[in-house]
Amino acid sequence: MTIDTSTKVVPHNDTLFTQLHDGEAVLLHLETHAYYGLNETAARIWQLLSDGLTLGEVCCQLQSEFDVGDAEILQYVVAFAEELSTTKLVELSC
Amino acid sequence: MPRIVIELTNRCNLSCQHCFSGRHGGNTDLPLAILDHVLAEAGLLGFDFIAFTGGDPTVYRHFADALARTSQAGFQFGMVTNGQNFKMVYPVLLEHRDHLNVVTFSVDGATESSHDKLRGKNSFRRVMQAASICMFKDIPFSINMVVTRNNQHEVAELAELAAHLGSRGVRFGHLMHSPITTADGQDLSSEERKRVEAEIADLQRNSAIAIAMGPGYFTDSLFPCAPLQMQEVNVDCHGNLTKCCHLSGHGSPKTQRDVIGNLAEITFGEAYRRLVAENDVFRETKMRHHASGQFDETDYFPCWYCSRYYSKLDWLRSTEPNVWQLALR
Ligand code: SF4
Ligand code: SF4
Repeated sequence: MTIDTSTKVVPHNDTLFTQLHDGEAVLLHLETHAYYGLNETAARIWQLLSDGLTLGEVCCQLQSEFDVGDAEILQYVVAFAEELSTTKLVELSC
Repeated sequence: MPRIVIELTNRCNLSCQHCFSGRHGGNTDLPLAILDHVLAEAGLLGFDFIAFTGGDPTVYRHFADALARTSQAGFQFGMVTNGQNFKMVYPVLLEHRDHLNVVTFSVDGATESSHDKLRGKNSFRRVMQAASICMFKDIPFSINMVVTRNNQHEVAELAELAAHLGSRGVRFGHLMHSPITTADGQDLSSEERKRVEAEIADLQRNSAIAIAMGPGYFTDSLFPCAPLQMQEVNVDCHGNLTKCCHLSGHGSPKTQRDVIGNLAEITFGEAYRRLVAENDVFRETKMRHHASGQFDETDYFPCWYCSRYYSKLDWLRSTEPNVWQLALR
């Protein structure tokens, strides 16, 4: 599936998300045991994706929160979604 | 490493099916003064490691204080926890990272369904979250699994799960007897225990991580565990120095012969001296029993021998007939 700004990223039912005190977070898939540490920005993206926002909406939101350029943020968010999808921590939908 | 097991509290945030009620149904927290007392004297007797247990140690009212005092006194420490509060308490552990040896999570099955059947809904998810925090924050951890009828087929799967998660190892242990688990049919017969032990021995040879069997397995050795070799002593949440954490709290209040003395009344040194004397008597008695040919099948499971020695088996008289009643003779 092609990932674009209209793609939604849905956490897999077996993915455990743990928000940590310092803003970081960690993901663990109960079946595959895939594991992923999230820095503060990635943890924020995860929250926005979990709220049901599309990748495009996540990018807009992040731009309003952080001082980063359009292209740069889209590249980051798409790469993040692809990596999570490869490890089955999320499912992608249109 | 000679160690002291300290039960910080008998309160718990779970109510596991295989837990005898005194452990999670209590409301007692160890007075901090007793902890200070132990920390001040134990080093002089060669102890350098404190293992915190409960109940669940993380619900102890003075948890942060206890860790700070333990590190400050120069001890290494570890704790056994069900992992349910780990997300809240891990920052405190990180503060004492230099003194933290290992966190041990109780995981009673390789799958959500078998673990949750014993420990309650969502408990597997929370303990897995705890393990993932350890992976991310580089906190050393290991896993304990109590083998029951319910999860006996999952030992290899659990070892694999532990290896995936980056656990240092797994320690399997037999279920400590109780009227509840017997009534619930969770006990394994001696033959079933031996079958599981053989499987664990096989895993020990082939697993990528350290696999151990806790005391209580079938053995010819008369003194196979740390408490019987005076390498481990137990302090319960009432401040009693007792023979062993496996026996602590078992049996009726009238049969607490394993309680050596209360640390609010005598010094740790005096309690330890009494324990050494008591252990000498225990060892002589056990050797005599063995030499006289009085051992039966249950005696080769050392925790059963101890349970009978310390008169903790009266409840077995009123249960449905079962294999372990042999120990009543
Ligand atoms: S976590 Fe341990 S102490 Fe608490 S109820 Fe379960 S077995 Fe008992
Ligand atoms: S109950 Fe006895 S055999 Fe079992 S661990 Fe304790 S001291 Fe050792």
